[in-house]
Amino acid sequence: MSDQRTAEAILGALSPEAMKLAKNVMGLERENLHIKNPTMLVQKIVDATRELTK
Amino acid sequence: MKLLKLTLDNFRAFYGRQVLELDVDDDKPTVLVFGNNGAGKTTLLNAFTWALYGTFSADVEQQHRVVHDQKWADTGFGEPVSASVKLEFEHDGTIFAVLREVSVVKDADEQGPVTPRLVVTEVRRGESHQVPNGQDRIEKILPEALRRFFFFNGERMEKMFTAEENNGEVKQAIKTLLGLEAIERAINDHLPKAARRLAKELGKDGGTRLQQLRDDQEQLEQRQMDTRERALEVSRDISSYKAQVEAMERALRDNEQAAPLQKERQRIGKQTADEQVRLQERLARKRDLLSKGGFLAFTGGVDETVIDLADGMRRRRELPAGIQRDFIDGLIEEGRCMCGTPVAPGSPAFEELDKRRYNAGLADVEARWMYVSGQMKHLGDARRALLEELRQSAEDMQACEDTIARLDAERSEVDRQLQGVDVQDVQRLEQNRKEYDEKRIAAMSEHRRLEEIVAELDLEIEKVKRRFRSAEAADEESRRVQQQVNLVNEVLDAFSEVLEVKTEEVRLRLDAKVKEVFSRIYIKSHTPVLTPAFELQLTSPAGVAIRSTGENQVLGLSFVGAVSELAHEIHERKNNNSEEILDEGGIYPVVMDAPFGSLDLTYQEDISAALPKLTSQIVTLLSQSQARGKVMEHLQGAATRMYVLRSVTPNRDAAEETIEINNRTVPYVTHGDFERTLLEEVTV
Repeated sequence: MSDQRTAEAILGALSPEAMKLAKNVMGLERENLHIKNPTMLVQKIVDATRELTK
Repeated sequence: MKLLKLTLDNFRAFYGRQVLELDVDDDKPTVLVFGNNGAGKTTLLNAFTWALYGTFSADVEQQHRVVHDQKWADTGFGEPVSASVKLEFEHDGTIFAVLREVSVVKDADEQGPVTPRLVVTEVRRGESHQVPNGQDRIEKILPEALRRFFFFNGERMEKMFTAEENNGEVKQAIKTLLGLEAIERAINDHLPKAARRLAKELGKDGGTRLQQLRDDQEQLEQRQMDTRERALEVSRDISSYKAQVEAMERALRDNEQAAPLQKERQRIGKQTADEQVRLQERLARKRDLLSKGGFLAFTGGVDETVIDLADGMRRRRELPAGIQRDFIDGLIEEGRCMCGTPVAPGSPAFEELDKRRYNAGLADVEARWMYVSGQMKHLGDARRALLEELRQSAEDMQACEDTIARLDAERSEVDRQLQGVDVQDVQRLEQNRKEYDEKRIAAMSEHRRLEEIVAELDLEIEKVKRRFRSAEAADEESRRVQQQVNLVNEVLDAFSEVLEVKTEEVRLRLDAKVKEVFSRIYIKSHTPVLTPAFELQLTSPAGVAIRSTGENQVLGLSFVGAVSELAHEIHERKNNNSEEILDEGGIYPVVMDAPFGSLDLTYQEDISAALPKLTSQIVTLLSQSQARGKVMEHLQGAATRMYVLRSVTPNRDAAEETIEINNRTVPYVTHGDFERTLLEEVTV
């Protein structure tokens, strides 16, 4: 049996808040993929993080 | 993305409104469009990309002439005129209509450059809305960087992987297509920035443990960023050196043809020079012979005369032989002859001896004569030898001249063969190649060193992060910030690990797909390989294969097919698992002009059989000559729709032509009032 971890297993090991943040980040990244330097993206991640740690 | 309809209005060769319906059945994914040379196949291919991105491919001439020439000519000055392309497609359950249009008031005989207007509308649940930033939406659906995979000219496909600069673009395009670019951007840019921004909330006095650790991390990250930038510069240098080495190697390979000829020319040159030296030596020898013994040539007859004269004197006893004068002198001195007779002065005996003494004096003369006559015999020999040597010398010189003439002819032939070959100094090329290769190796060594530093800094940063994670916060506010930073870092670490796993997974799957598609088409035992650096190589049993134009075309097609199939598979997996946050993929159509490029008939047949399996929708533009026999059979068998680009020409000298499709004779070239192309659907 391979000891290689799968992407699903890696993500599955995240805490519930981290999983939510991961989904959020991926959504934002896809949304802004065509923009070279999206101005608001980092702030949106910061806001999402703050929201999750309230 | 599923193409539905393309509508052209006075767009370049297409006069009036021409419509290409594109929806296809699942089991017949092909739309075939036949057109002769100049009918507008390339224009039709460009209509798709012009609608989507507003640009033409580089091979389209007179790009500013978007409006059909006749339409433009028929428009009066001051009157409005327009041309447009509308592409309708479905993507993720939404119907989109992309309309790109040029609309101007005519103010000159010739069309000038105009910026087209873009209107994108989407229909969702029966309601139509205009999309505010249409180009952005198009970029999200199908980034322009990917157009090379989905809208292309088969004749240029071989260049898809040949240019060095294409490799980076291809690699990035694959990542975009398969959903890795988003996670990469999160890891490399946005998540670290978010963590830093959050950590700033800790304040700036640096007095707390968390502040210290944050500052340490920032410093380490700055050092790492600087090192990465330097590594990037070195990496660019490596690419540049590598390109130079490859250019030198190509030039040397080109010289492989010229090198034997060059060697031959050098050999001939050396032989000619040697022969010229030999000729000069022989000329000098001749001069020497003539200067030393040339007179001999004029002594013919003298020697015989001297010999005859001497012999005559001997015969007349004018040259008595025998007693030497000093012997007779001795007898006279003694006063007695050798026979005992006294030879007193005045006696008859004395007189006789004295007479003999006189004649004996002539003996020297005789000896001289004898010598001369002997020499005269040698003179003849010497003259004959001289003449022989001169004859030999003339022969030798002639041989030299003949050799030089032959070598001249040989060199002339080599020169002729070398005409048109880029003759370069092989040694200079080899020297340059070596120098660039040494620079490349040195740069690679530096790059490795920099990568090691980056890796060491990674470990350092990781340590600091761990300390930050577990450090005791001074107050509630710091604890909250610590928790936020830790959360971002948790995602960042997981994404980094996931990217590594996914990149390798995608590469292995794509590698397998390319192999599979390639083997369906290509008969040789070559195998495509997608390297860990995402470079597409073709290997043969002897190693990396030197790819021909045809092989590059097949490789390009295989790659496009493999990318499409894999993107489709990943998309399906995402649809079946709504919790999947990483997979992206998608369904993409392929629109290709001249799919067979310059391939042999065998490959045309194989490709025509493989094409319909490449993706779920494929629009193929081809000429009559590219669609015969089995090729036509395969393509028609997979076609939902077929169109003919009918060329209308006012040139009555041009013969009208038809094309046979499904046993029907369809007009292909017809006469008309002005040049235009009509898009006509043929019953399948």
